[in-house]
Amino acid sequence: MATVELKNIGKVYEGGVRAVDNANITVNDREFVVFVGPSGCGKTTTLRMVAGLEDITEGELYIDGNLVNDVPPKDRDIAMVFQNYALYPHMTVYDNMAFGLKIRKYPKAEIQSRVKEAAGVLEIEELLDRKPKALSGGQRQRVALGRAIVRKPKVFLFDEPLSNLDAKLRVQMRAEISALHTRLQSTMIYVTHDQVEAMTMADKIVVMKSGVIQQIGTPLELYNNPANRFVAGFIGSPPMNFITVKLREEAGKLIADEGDSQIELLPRQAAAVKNLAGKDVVLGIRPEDLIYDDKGGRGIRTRVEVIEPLGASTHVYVSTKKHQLISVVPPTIQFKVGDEAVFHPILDRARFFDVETEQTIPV
Amino acid sequence: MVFKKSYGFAYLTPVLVLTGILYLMIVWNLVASLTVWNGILPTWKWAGFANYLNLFSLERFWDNLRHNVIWLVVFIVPTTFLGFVLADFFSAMKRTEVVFRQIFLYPMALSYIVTGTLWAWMYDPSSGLVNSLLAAFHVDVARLGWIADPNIAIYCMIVAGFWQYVGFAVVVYLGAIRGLPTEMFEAARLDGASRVRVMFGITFPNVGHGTLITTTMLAIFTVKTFDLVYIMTGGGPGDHTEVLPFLMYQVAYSQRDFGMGTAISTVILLFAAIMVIPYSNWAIKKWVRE
Repeated sequence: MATVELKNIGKVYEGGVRAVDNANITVNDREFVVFVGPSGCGKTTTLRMVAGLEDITEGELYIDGNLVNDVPPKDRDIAMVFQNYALYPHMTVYDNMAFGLKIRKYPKAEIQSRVKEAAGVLEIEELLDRKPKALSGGQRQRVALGRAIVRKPKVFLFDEPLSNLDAKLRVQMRAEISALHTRLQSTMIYVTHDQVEAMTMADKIVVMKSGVIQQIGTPLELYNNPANRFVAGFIGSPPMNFITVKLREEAGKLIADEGDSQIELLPRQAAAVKNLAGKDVVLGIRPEDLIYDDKGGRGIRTRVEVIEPLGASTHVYVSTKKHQLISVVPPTIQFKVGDEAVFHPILDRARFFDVETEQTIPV
Repeated sequence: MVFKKSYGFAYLTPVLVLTGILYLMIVWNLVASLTVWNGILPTWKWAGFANYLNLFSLERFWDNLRHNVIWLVVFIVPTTFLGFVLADFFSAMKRTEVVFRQIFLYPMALSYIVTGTLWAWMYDPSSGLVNSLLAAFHVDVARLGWIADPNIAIYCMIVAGFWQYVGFAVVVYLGAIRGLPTEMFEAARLDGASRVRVMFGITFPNVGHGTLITTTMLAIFTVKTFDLVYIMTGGGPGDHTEVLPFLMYQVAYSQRDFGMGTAISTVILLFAAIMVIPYSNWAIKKWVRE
């Protein structure tokens, strides 16, 4: 059993800079939780507070129900994998992995068997006598993982562990860390700025911005029901399209007026935002929900700006007079830059956001 | 391309000229050591290896060499060790580090003459600071002669050298420690390593380049120690603090035997080369390339 609970956690640096504000997160036993957000959002600071590498200025941190605010890192029974691996350059791979166990005075035979076992899991047995300098980035990260595994800690912490790897290796290691989680059945907290990593690996995602938690939920909850415009834009690739429209009533119907194009809202949506008639709202439409209409029709009229064929699909960047939009279309549809194209939003899946507060308007 | 290469080479000219002069002087020194010459008259007499043979037969020479070795061992190891330990402590400080660094580096800015005078006064048996302080703590100082005591004079002098050079070691190590990734230390903290274990098990093995610079520079300083000896004791009591550079000075300038003096300086050069070159090669291989 290993749970991690953050209660009203805050971090204020000398000089009054606030890095984390009132974070409340519960990481359940065996859960894989990902903290995600742009640079400077406080995700790494939060993780470092869990590790004990950063003092907690406000709130309480519990590991397995025990208050650990003032417990030194070594006594928290956690292991951390760093972005730049943080291996000891003068030690062999074996010694790097065994170091923590030696300090904890484990018997030699046990150290040996644990290191061998971890090396087997990570397929680095043949590297045990090498020094970190003689390893590739991917191999070093495996050793860093191994160093964490041998300790059999209550909680694993990962601080952007794949950021220094090339794209292909990152995808491979992503899958391996997920597999490791399944195999070890441990509680893991993982920090990344890459929303794809968050979506593919997490049981639960914590989205942060400017030190404040924006939303906590499963990947699909965040994708389908973002709490605000930031989460909607951050989760999902390519990102959600945001169209500022003016709502007006016309013959008993509610019309979203983009300027060039008018979109008639569904009765359910009209009922929910009727009180906003005459005002601006932001309409959020996922790129895959912006459907190309080869017959023209009364959709959003655009001009094709950039075409990115990816093979399985094509990303088309288009513009109206006021907005830049992205649509994901099947590869069979061929565009040329400068083409006029009409797109229909799947309105049923559209989200509405308040212009001022940027919060989601429930529809 | 040829033009560019020669153009670039031209930039090296001042260094090449200076290095050339240096090696010319070494050769000249070597030649002079094979002659009998008083350093003033334009005439000299070829003497072969007589100067060297005479030198090696002198008990004073071997005493001096032994003193140089004492300097090497007793001075370098503690200075390097304490320099590293202090740098490690300072590196963990934030603002106060600058103050401490300057305090420890300040003696290096002094000339050896000042250091020598200062410490000679501190060691003075009757009016020196050391004995005055000890007397204040009711220690019987009547027999504590410090640099007047043949048994401990050289060690007292080494303390002065240590005082002057430990700041150098601190600064070199501080730079080396600052260059290490902080995550490595954080990983060690999570692994549960104690402060001392981190210092000697993680930090020290990773600042080999700092150790190389410090020990090499200190070795070079040690081999050519002259100023402190000249100012503090003049080689005394007896010849108990005499070192080879001091002997060279005495022989060449006081006794006007330039042939013998240059022979001693050649021996110093060889001594330095034997000490420094193999050590540097070994240390570069172990600590820098590895």
